[in-house]
Amino acid sequence: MSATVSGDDSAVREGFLCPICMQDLNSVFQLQTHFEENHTHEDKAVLHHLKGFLGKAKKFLGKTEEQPVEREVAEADEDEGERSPGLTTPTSRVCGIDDTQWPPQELGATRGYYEYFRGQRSSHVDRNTVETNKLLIRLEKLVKFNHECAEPSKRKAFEKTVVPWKEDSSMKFCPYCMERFGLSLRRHHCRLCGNIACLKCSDFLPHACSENLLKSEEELLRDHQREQARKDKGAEGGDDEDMSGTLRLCKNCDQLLVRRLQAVREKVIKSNLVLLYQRLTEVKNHVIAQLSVYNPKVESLLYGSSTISRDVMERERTKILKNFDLIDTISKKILGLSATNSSRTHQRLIQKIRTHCTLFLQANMHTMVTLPTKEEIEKLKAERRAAITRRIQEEKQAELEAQRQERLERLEKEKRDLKTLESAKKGHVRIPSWPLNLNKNKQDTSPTKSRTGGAKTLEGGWKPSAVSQAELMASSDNPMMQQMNIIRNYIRQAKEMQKTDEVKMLEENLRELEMEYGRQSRF
Amino acid sequence: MNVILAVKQYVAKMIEESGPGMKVLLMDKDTISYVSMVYAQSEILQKEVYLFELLSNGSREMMKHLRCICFIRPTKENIDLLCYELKNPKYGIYCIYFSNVVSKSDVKRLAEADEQEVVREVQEFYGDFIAVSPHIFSFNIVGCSRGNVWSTGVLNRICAGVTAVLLSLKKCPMIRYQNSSELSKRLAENVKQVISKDAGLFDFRRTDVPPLLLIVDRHSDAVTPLLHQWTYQAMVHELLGIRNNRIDLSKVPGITKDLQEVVLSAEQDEFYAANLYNNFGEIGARIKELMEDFQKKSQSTKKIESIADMKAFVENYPQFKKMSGTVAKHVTVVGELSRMVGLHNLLEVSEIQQELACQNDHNEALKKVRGLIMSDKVRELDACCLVALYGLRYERHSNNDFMTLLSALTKRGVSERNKRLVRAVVEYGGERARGTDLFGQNNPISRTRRFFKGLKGVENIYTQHTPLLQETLDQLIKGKLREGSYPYLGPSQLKDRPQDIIVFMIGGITYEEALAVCNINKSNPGVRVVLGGTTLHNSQTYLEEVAIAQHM
Repeated sequence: MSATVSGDDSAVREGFLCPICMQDLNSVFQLQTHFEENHTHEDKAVLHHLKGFLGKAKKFLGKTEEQPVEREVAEADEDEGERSPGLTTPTSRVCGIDDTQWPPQELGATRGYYEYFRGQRSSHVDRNTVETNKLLIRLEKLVKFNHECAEPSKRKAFEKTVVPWKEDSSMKFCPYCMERFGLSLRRHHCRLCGNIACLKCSDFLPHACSENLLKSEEELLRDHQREQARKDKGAEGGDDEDMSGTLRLCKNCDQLLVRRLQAVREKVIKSNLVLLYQRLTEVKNHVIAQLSVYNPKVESLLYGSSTISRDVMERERTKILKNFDLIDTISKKILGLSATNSSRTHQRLIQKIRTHCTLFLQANMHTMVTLPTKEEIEKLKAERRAAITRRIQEEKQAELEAQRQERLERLEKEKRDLKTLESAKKGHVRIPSWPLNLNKNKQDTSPTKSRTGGAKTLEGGWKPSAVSQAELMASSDNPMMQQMNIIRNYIRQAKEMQKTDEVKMLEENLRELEMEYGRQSRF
Repeated sequence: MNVILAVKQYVAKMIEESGPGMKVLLMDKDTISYVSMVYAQSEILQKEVYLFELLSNGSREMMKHLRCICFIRPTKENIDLLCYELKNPKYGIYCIYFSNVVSKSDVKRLAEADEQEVVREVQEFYGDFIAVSPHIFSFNIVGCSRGNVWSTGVLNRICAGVTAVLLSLKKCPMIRYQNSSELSKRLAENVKQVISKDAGLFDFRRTDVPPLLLIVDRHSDAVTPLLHQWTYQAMVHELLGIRNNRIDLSKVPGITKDLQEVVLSAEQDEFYAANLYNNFGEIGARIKELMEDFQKKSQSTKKIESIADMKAFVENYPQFKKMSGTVAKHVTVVGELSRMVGLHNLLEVSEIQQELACQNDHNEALKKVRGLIMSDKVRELDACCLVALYGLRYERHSNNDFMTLLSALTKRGVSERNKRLVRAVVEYGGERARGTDLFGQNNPISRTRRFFKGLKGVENIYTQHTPLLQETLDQLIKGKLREGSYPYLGPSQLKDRPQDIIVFMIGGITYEEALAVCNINKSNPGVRVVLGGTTLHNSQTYLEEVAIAQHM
């Protein structure tokens, strides 16, 4: 037996331990059979894991047998599938192909073009940005002057100083509509770039627009909020923006400026939908973070852990539930936005967001581990404690059993060779020190449990009852004496179970021991 | 080597890269079917993708608060549309993914169109095929060739598609092709050319045994698509027609409105996934189980007395609802299938078909075919298929009575076009065209094998036939596929037995072959086979294919 058993709970234990009941088994095969017999119903995944682990171990042991092992594991997988056809998920056995047999798949090949794309774009875009900025500077100058001086003649002169106007004679055709200038088609100068366009292809820049263009981002946001507030109050008529203007622009400059205004607005002003959605995302991320802490904690609570307080978890739970509630309300609010916007895509979007939220709630709220009640927790804790103590006991029992076997073998040797007395003594010295929680064991273990535990161990052999062990410890420190007591105990138990042949054998052992003891004490 | 997973991973990556926020997926007609084959709407919805739009739809609304994932094929038309889109962007941010290799000049055009700097990503993600099953892909192209020449444009499309499959699976294969087929050779050469032109792209981690691309031609096995199949998926395709996992049930008598079109996807439907290769007989039993299970559940949901019951109900309700949908769907589909089987005498037809394909008794077969094609219950399509089968099977038989069968069809009132189609099938897959030993007559070994098989008796008279592809693949896996019939392209040859095999069939594949490949994968651990075709045929689409191929 390769396990090093110690009484301490937290000590590292090794050997062929069963991962579920921590029972020590002597060999791989025993462990495997034990697991298949006792735990298959508990957790198939663990069994698989174990099998895979064993397979790996086998592979290490004999590298030449690599393929058969793999096949074996794969076959085991298949058997699993056949045994429970209802339980298989489509992902594990899609269309009859067992993906588990195929190596894991990485993302397919990709090729990025963004660097190239950006290089190409920036040369193009920079030109536009420079142009737009130039226009904005000129616009600012012009607007400022207009405020100070309203005289049209002076204004024209000033406009010409800001940007030199093109000569009338240089343009025979309007560059946008390609019509010939003449008496009926007059030339007009763009006040921002100085180019010439016809009446149709140029327009006045509205005052409101030029004002907005020169405003900073904060000012725009404030304006927007003010307007929003006015709308909320129900006051109409804020929409009659000043559409008249005095600055004539060509198509090109107009487009550049409008685009700039749009871009700035988009950056600053966010619609209700976007704001609500941002909030929704925040709450969702928060909930996911909370759940990732909460769920494992409750699970360990369910496992009987005593380090986590139920009250704390209860508070956690209400917090999470409140957030779920919040998600629901926000998504309903988003759904309510459909009234203000009648476009079909918008409505579709809003409905999809709502579905997304219900799916999210379904996926996360229903999978939330339910918190056990206080009584349940007490019961779980007790069970776990009992399980731990029982386990320890069983281990000790196994240890004792091993010693007994060892001793019996030695005794037999002694029978053959009576001279080597000292060696027999050595075998008895190694009796483990009894752990402190032995008393706890008595308190916690309910009678039914100790009985079942006892029955289980009886299969393996006779065990000294906890009480007699304690007595033994107190009464004698002579190993020989202890051993005799233990064997007496065994005999009693065997008699109770009415196993006469075992009793006979044990009695013989005892007699031999007594003879030995007598001889030793005589010395 | 899972083609469904390959596309799925690409799509997941796109969504991930585009970042958090409301998203719209902008696609073209092809890519929309690629994505819909691997993702359910609800599944993709969970990743914040709320809208699905077609790039060609010009009347899309301006929604600047959306992030746009644009997944399109790099066709000229699409590039033009995208340039226009970028000049007047409707969404806030664009991440562009091309499903295949795009030319640098096109990227440049796009960059110049992106004046407002809305593009955040430009990449090639090679999901340029329809992933039908983990081991099956298709392009939904019927009529890929005319005689021995590729139809215009199709060769390039298929070549791009096949190379995309290779790239998505990260395989740089050796290529073998069917020597008797000019089409195979052309495709093999084109694929090779693409690989050598873009060698850097195909530079993957070397495996011990290099993967293999085998290109074969439908001409060599014209029989398989004519046969009735009795597995669930194949039957649905034959009798109702599957297109991108969708089945049109609107012609079924007495159908309710919500079942007029149903989706059968093995990715989402457990029952379907578990049963698509099961025989029709088994399906009946499985459906019964499903029903009983459902009834048990519905009964348990009926008695809601305590709060606990209620809670259990609410928790199980989505599952319950899903299940009720599944039950209704499959009961309808299977009911319709069995109605058609009875109505059109399909069992009898199938028996004769299998006999024609696998047995060697000319007189008996002729008698039965003659009898069946005069029966009123048998569909015109089935009658034509039977005669075509006879024509193919006994093409060189001394007592060949093909002409009388054709005149029998005339008597039955079969249209002139369909009669010409029957002749066309015999020309399409006749001995002169196929160049392979389809019926195993010339090879003494397969002849004796057939003889012994006949002595042993057959287990199921409706499933005697195995497609030629299975034999080809068996030989390939054993390393016994003849060099003469399937030469390598280029000087290098495979020394070991192949492990990763991609088979492509020009002219389309069938679900029978899909099942055969699935079985090969199961019975040969360590060997992975992926099968693709220009399309997935049932007998009807196959006849269309033949009509185009034979210039009809």
